[in-house]
Amino acid sequence: MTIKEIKVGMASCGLAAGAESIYTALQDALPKEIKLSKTACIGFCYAEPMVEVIDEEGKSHHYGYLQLRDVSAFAKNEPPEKKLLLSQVHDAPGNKKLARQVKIATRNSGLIDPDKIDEYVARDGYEALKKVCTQMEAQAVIDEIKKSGLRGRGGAGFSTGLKWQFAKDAPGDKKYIICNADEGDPGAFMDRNLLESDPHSILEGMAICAFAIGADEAYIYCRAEYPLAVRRLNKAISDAMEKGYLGENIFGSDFSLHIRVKLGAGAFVCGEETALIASIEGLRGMPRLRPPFPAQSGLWGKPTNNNNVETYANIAWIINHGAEAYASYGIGKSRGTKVFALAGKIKESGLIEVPMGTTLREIIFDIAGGIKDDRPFKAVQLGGPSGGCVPEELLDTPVDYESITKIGAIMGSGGMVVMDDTTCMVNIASFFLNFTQNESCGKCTFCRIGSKRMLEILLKIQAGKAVLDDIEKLEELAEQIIASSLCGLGKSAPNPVLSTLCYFKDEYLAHIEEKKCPAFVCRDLVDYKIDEEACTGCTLCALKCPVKAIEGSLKKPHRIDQDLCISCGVCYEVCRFNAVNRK
Amino acid sequence: MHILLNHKKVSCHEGQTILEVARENGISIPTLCHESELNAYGSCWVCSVKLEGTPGFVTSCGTKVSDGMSVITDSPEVKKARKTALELLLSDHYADCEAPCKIACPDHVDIQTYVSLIANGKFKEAVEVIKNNLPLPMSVGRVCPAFCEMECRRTLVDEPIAIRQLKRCAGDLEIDTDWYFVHNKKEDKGKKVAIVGAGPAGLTAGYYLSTEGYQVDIFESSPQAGGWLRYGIPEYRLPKAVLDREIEIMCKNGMNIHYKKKMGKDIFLAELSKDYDAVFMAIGAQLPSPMRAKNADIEGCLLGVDYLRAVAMDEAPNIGKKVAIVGAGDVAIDCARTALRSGADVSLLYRRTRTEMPAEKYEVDAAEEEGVKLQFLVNPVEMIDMDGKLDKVIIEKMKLGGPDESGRRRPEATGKTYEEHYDSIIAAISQKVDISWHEDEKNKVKHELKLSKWNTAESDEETMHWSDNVFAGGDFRLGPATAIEAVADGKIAAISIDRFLRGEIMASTPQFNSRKSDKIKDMDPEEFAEIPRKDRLKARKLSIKERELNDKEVEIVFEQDKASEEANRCLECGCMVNTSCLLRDYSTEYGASQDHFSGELTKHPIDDTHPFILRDANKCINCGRCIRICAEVQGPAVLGYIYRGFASVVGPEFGEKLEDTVCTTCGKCIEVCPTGALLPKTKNYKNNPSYFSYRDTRCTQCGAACYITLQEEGDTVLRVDAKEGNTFNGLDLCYKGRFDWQNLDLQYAAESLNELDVPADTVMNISPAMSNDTIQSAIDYAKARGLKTVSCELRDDPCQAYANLADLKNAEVLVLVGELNQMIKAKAKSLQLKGAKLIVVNDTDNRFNRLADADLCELSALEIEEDVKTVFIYNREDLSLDQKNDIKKLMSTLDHSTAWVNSNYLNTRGMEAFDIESVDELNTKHAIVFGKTPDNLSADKIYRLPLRPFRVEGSVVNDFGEEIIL
Repeated sequence: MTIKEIKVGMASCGLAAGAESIYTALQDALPKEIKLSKTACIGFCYAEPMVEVIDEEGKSHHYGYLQLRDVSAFAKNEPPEKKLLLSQVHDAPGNKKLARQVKIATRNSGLIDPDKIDEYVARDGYEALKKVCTQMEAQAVIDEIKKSGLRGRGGAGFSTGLKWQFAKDAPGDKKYIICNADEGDPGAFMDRNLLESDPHSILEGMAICAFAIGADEAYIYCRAEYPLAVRRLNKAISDAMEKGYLGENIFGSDFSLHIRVKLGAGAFVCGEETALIASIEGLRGMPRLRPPFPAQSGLWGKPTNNNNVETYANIAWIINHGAEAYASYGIGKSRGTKVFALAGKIKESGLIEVPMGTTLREIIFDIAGGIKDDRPFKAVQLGGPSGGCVPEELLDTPVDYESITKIGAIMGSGGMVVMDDTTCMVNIASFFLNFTQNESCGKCTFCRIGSKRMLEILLKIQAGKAVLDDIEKLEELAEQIIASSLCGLGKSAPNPVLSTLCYFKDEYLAHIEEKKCPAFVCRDLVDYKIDEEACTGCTLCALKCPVKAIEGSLKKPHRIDQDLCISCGVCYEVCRFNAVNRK
Repeated sequence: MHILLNHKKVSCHEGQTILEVARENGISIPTLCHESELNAYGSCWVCSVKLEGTPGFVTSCGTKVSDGMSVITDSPEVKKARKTALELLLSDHYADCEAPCKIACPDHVDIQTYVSLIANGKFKEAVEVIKNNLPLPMSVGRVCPAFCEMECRRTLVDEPIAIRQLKRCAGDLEIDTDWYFVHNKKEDKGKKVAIVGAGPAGLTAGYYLSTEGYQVDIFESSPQAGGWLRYGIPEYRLPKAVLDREIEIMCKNGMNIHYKKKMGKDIFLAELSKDYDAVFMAIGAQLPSPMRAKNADIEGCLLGVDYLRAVAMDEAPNIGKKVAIVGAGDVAIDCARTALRSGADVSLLYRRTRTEMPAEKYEVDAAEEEGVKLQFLVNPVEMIDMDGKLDKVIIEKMKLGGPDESGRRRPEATGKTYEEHYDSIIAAISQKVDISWHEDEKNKVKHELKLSKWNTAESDEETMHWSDNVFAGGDFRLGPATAIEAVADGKIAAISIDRFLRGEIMASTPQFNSRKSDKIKDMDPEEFAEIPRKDRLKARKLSIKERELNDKEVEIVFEQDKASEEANRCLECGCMVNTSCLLRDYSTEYGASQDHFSGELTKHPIDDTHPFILRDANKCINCGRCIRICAEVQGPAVLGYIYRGFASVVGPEFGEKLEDTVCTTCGKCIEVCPTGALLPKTKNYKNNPSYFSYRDTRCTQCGAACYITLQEEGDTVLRVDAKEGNTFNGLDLCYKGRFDWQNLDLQYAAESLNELDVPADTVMNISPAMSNDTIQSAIDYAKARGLKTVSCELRDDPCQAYANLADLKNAEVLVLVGELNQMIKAKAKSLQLKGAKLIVVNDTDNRFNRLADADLCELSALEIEEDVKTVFIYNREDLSLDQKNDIKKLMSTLDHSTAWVNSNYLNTRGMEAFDIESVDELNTKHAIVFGKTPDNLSADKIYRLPLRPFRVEGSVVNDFGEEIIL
């Protein structure tokens, strides 16, 4: 093969895996005729660091799991065959992984260098904004978005066109728009990758929105934990200003827009729009009563439109390709595509974009290759801490707003955490509840104290100290918290508990009635014992035991001192003779 | 528009909240976080209501009505949601509504209150508080085992407060004087109550029932009243004279005691039940349990109760020289010490050891001190007589075995015995009820009078109701117990008999009580680590020599000033606002339990650094009212939420102490707090949660004359609050009105002018804080003596258009010039919220300024359109005459402008009507000054007359030109 170009994936996950040093090494090693460039998220997180190689025919080949010693092979035009993930990523209809994906929001991810505005422009960038500014009326833009069926990709799924309409119709000559980039769900990284990989698509989407509702100032509220995204956003904003895509009189029109990036301080609840607005205003991020909705009275009391990153990323595509093209994807009331971040016990974790209506089974088994180590699938958690756990029997559920809600989960922003049989569902419920409980702003009684009391009950169950009545109390509290909270955080905090109680009640009962954790996760309920006949006295377990609870001399059977043992399971993991039993 | 409120159509208008509409229609919805001055917040969720056709609940404070909306406010699910909200709040409410001493007391005497009164030197008031529950403080103050002291939290610092001694100290005021306290007797109710037994239970019930207006007849089998107090407690512990006086006082409200009337012999229950509207059986438990030894019925073998009774009746038997007492309870100790006083050599024989002795430790120690020989692990098993009279006792040695149900170790016989000579042996093992009358037909009523297996009355412990119109309590219900427990039964009986006779339900709804812990042993002493130690005051006792082992009372009452000092050790555990706390009231109303959702508690140190505001975050429910009022109306924005989730708490930023913030001490946060998390501190005075009265008056601290409500303990002001209701100052007061009066430490030369004789060269200084009446009498006094009359405090003001309250209300623009007090700023802010434009002109960096629409440094920068209604607000003493003239000039250019000229003195406008010379400075030999001496007055000798805050009398004219008669 003759290599024409090598693109190194340099989003956060690539950088974390060592993409920077691969890039530097390639820079030194590659002959001049091979072009070296940077791009951002290619989507295969599991295989980072990775590169895309473009051959003399313009075909593309992806190589992953790269190490520094692989660099010289590329220089010799002999890429390591073993590390080839797939060929012709963007035009390979036969590839199962790619065939099911449709890239709209992520249309440029992994293809362009996010720091180069020209590369964005080369792929029709800012064409839509130009069209809007020069050829369209504001109402026509809104009508087009309404027609596309696009719904808020932050999780709530409210019609984007309608939301814009409210803000447009609200009286007032000063209006704001906000891009909510305060992505905070554990296991979710869609927004980060969009911001890092294609910041201009978000700026363009925001500018079109501002044009449509009549705003001239915008904020991107981005979490401070995303430094790369913030850097690229700021660069993108200044490049766009320089080119005249932002700033005064855009494309010669009367429309002007200034966008600022505002850093969040790490409060999950600031993803809630009224809390986010309070935070931009310099107040403590706490949700407030609605109405008035931000469309009437938002930032500094002015009409404000707030959308999520992914929502904005779709806008330019819709304007360019038409609402019908967008609406041709999806099912029912859920149109278009959705980006998901796959994580957990899954073979090929990463970022995918699929049409609405793709089933969970297709996503997990066809696109992501199934469960790690081919263990049995147990559940997939959708929608982050506010979501729910879906069991195997519901894997054929299509992913759309209505279907997902019906089975007790939520679409959320697109996080999917896959779990196998080593996961304890009570533990998962308490993990997520602990998260929301800590992130409660502290305002509403039910969320602040109720979720804490629920968590305490879960911990009691995990410690084997609960009674059956505790389940009733859990359900009672869950119901009350959902019914009596001001914002989405509180209203959805009990979801992980309710959905696990619904689909995995037997695990709860095992903890309570039999004092057993079927997944051997809850330490208080697991005992480890050495089978003295099987033990060869290799001493490995005794060496690894963190609390020195294992005694025994070389080639003699070992014993665990149960008073010292903390049930961490290290001995079980390391024993090569299956001599450690657990129950 | 209309909405359906609990399916009933009611009219309302756009913009109203459900809460407002419900209130207008007489439907009460609880709320903790709602603050009417501010926008709805919706944090407590106690005001939940259901909107039909929507899932979940909504806050009624935060939901605006819409036409046709159907609201349910009183369904079981709504009530459950509110109860759950309350229970969640309570599960993290680390606070005591009532002091643990009061809860520990069987009779729930309001100890914290009377202790505080004693600390303040108000002993008579203390007696009144004690007598609200306990009409025999002198007797109980001598004999009570003090359950209260066992739960006293001060124990975790050093030692408990000497509560029993303090009670006695107050109670003893009634000895040897004509003074006594009884409650005012209510109107005669025309009904009769019979009480059987004149012991503590019967006397207590009789006292309260006679006070309530019932005719009370007590039937007592003995020749005198007092029951066990008289016939069981020896003279050296409770002198009969004291008891006589106490009974005499209790009878002042008209109860009659009929002596020598024995149940089943002279009186019969069937008859009493018929002749009287109600009967209270308080016959006690005075029948001694017999000795279990062989041959114990010979001469020389006595029973403790009989012995004590005989001594009390001056019929003491001859017990000889060498006496054994059997038992280890209080009765045994009383017998031993009484026998000692007859000159005998006394041994006390007990089957177990000192540790297991049930008697009060201090009693045991006193007995031993006086010479009683304590012998442990011994048990008399047989009496040997000589000529029918006791000669020797066979005593078995015992050893301790395993613990019994009570936790005490069980004595076990060893089989080893020895003999000992005694002249007499007195067994004081236990007492039981005499029920010999119970089976007699003459003592039966319609329904069964149930007895327990111990032959005690099985009457209801909440009401004392036994059967038909018969009630029973005291030792007759409890078995042998303490005086205070009998008193408690008597008090309960009185309440429920009163309810019974009025035809009401007897049992009362239990009041909610938040508790830090049920028992002191569950408290962490670390919480009290900061409190300085101070030793408990010990009552002096007669020395053994002084006692002369006769009937002299051994324990000597505290001296009053020492008692006050001891009372000042009280930690004031009970919440000061436990009678006005919304959280407590709602919790009672909804039957909420503190334990239903029990879990981790967040404990916070109490912030006591601020001189006037006490902040106890443990009581905070995160409603945010204080935060919002401070930031959005008052300006300083001192408070905020800290942390997230369950740990979130209200406090100054970075966890600073309140004292270290920019707090302006306006006290509005206290006013809006729905619990006791923010409380006013009363300097140099011990406050209490219940003994006070309210007085509505006007604040005398400046010319605004705000409407206030005083909380007063007699003549002493404890707390100043804005008067509830629709007044011009609303909930606002300034620092001066709410707190600063406590800083005045005034010593007067005379109480009135009449008492004053001054030299002829004395200058009379008139203060604009004086009423017109006082000014007139001062002028008259000066004129009669030819004294010069001046004022060092009156400042000229050129204003020609004073504002009245209507001008203020209708103002379109408010211009605040210079420094003003917090009440005025908050008033202006509330007018701004109603639509007025607020402009501040000052050169200070004032946090209130950020709330204004315009913040100017100079008056010259001010631009106002001619035709808007403008009110200038300034303080007459703060601005210079030039500045005031500038304002006057500016006002003359406007069509509708007036000025609210605030004065630091109550009656500046009134005083202007008198022609008094105003001076900038006064140096003189002699001066008469009312109230505080002005800074610009100096004299060799000052004759000072009182001008006390909130006690101005006569007519005054406030800033708005209104005449007020105080």
